[in-house]
Amino acid sequence: MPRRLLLLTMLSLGLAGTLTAQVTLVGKRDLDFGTVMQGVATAVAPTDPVRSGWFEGVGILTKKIRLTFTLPTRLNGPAGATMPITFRTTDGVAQDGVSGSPQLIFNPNVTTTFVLNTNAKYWIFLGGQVNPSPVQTIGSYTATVILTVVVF
Amino acid sequence: MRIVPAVSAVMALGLSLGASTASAQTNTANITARAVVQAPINVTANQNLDFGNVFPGVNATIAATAAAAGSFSITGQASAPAKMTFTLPPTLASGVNTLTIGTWTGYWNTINSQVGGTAFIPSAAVTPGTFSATGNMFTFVGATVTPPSNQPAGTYTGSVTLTVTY
Repeated sequence: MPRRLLLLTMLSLGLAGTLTAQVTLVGKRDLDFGTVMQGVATAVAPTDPVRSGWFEGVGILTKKIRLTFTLPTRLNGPAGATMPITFRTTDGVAQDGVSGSPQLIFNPNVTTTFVLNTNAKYWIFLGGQVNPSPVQTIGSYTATVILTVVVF
Repeated sequence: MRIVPAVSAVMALGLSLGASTASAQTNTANITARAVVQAPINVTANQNLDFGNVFPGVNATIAATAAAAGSFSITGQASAPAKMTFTLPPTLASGVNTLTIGTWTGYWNTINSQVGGTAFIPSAAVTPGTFSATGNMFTFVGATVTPPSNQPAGTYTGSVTLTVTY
């Protein structure tokens, strides 16, 4: 009897393990416009290898991932100053988490779904554009970009 | 190794898999969007580098600290570091005739003065500078022309270009 009970316990643990496959998502790199001039709109392409925003996720092979960005409309600067930021329809890029793999352009302003059909790891890159006014207050501006991924 | 978009299937698949929503997993991650706003840089040519009359076979030098030195005034972000690069002509031209110019010298200051600043050698390589607390910087350039003994008479000119970036 004790031996049978142990076998059942092991089986139970094994089944529980298959139901808890973990997915992960981390922010790897900030979207960095660097120094921008008053009155000069400045864009960063999602393919920029240094300045584009970068997320890395691990999903489940053959499953879908649904991406939803929470994008700021303004960056916050000194003494309450703000600066407009926009994201174009081509400012999102999705790619397998392998250097050199094909890149898919998408609109980060709308929810987008992809299928992970060849690799569980994926990269999401984000570009954007800031539009400082001619009298934009000098200083550093920041805002948070949130990416929510649902694997299903 | 490809990611396949399935945008058009989002809703239908989401509904059909509704019974297994317990297996859907959600993750959230943040990054920061950042930018630093600075005042634009403006470079103004104040004075040409003027050798006046020179004579065949006699070299002529204008020091960067001389009154006849070329000068630029620059405005930008107060107290910010700046990078200066120069495009310098190897010769001056008078029609088809040329006059060799070289041995460039430079001097920059946060005030419009050729005293109390920093000497440097102008070139295409970066020379660091710094704007004053009021966002000003001044740069002066000198050089040497070396006319040979058979240098044709004429008025010789060339362009010196200063580029300043943060």
